Amino acid sequence: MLEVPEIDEMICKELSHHNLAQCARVCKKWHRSAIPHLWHTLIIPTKHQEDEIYEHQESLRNMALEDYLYEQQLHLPSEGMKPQLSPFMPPLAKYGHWIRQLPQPAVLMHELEPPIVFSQPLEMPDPEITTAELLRHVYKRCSNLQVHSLDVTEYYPFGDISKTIAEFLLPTVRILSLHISDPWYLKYLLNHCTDTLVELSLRVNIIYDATRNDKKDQQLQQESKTLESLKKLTLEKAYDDSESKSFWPWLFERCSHVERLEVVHLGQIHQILADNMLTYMPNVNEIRFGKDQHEDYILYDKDVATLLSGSRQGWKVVEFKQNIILIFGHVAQEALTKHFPTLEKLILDDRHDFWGYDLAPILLSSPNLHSLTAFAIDSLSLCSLKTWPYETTLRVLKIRIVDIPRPDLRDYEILILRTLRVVS
Amino acid sequence: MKVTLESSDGQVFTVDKEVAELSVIIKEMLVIEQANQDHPIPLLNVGAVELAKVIEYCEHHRNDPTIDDDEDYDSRKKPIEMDDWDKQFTIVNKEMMFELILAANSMQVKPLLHLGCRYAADIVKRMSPTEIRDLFQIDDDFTPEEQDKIEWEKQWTKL
Repeated sequence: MLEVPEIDEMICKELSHHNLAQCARVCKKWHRSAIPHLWHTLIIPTKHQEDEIYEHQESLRNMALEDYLYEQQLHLPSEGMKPQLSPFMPPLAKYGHWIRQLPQPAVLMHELEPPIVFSQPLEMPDPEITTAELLRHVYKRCSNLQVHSLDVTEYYPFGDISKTIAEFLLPTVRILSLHISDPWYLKYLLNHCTDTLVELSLRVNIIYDATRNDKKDQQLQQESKTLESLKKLTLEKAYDDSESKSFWPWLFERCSHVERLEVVHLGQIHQILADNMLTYMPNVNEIRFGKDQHEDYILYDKDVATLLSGSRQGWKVVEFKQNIILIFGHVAQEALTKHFPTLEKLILDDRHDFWGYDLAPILLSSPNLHSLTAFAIDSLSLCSLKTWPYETTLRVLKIRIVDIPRPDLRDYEILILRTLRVVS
Repeated sequence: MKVTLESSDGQVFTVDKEVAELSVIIKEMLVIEQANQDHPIPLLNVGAVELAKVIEYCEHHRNDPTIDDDEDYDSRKKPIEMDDWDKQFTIVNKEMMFELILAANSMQVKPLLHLGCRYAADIVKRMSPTEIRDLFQIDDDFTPEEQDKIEWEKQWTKL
């Protein structure tokens, strides 16, 4: 636009999709500048534009079909067999390499499905191609996709789609979320992840052993490789009713660089997880129970204790989110006590059944603690704590105190004043 | 400390070093030529009128926190704050503004460059291709065949 590529690029970044489409029609130079930005992100219209939704839906499907037929045509032998197509190169073939971002596969699948009602007769011959094949075709054209985060759910027909995802999306994915329950597919997809993967989140409900497909499974077992960059593992849902429970050692073996573990809904597999953490995850030192904005759920004393026993080097960060109804008894308390020497950050969000757990032992025995968020009912114990040896390392202290007895207010002031000094 | 800058048409400006250093290019030059500071720094691509305006901008923004070197700066994610002074500053004719963008680019004054690009984008917004052509005095150089192609592609690009 000003004929300096860097400046044109910056101007284009300020423009909306519509603006860019206008600019592309000004002249050849502007066209060249605008096209990469126009195709950077493929946007699917939102649901509220209901009148236009069919048109758009067919539009994306037609674009993919047109492109598919164009490619087929190149391979057809005789002139007479060629279907009647537009004389121009289809946009996906021409601009596909500019596309960096696509909607999640599930959304794309939906858009590529044949419309239920044809609002207008197709101008092109209707090829025999499944939606899964069409999806594969689209991904093949988008050769420079930057897959930042990817959600994979088990939709039909998953066999074909998982192959496409493994081939075109997993090699560059950074944040992967799998909502799949077939252990074979889980292993298949995870085997195709590379060193770009930083975060992995699983929602799985395994109900049978993965041995149904012996040969294939053995092959997967052998391709053991560590996910070198994987630092965070989230088990949003981990149920396993299979007899062998063989998926978890397989998974954790690949997670040997994981440092942070987040757990939400776990079936009765706490002991298996803890054992596998000890065996395969030497670096894990942060754990979070629960999740933001999630329905309440109950976490049991012994389960907390079991998971807390899974860190080889000791926990540095332990967090409980506020929607947990924690049945926190002496077993969990004892398990946590073992980690006081390494503990740097402890977050017990409010409304935990933290039953007047005396915070004094935590403050007294955690030399590295720099952040403590807690909920104290037994506030008197806090007042008795005039000094503690490690108070200089503490940076953040958030304590919600219930039921302040008025005559003791003076003591609280002393504590709060001292804390302020610590924080500053 | 003062630094002298010389525009392409030979006019010399004296400014505070910290003001001049808002330009990445000048900052780098000052590091290299530390011993040789008596001579004015020549800015071969920047005329006196534009340089005066760039300096005016830098004087006003001398105390701003520096933006991290933003390789993949994307205004769609984090819009840069534009204060009233900036708005006043951009009330100039568009030829002047485009010269300023080019000057900011050659001197690498990043915040001014962002400001200018946003200004340019605002001009282009809400305009049809024909209006843009008139404003920038651009010829429509598409052949009829290319026009057809663009019309045909239009059905996909409105996606």
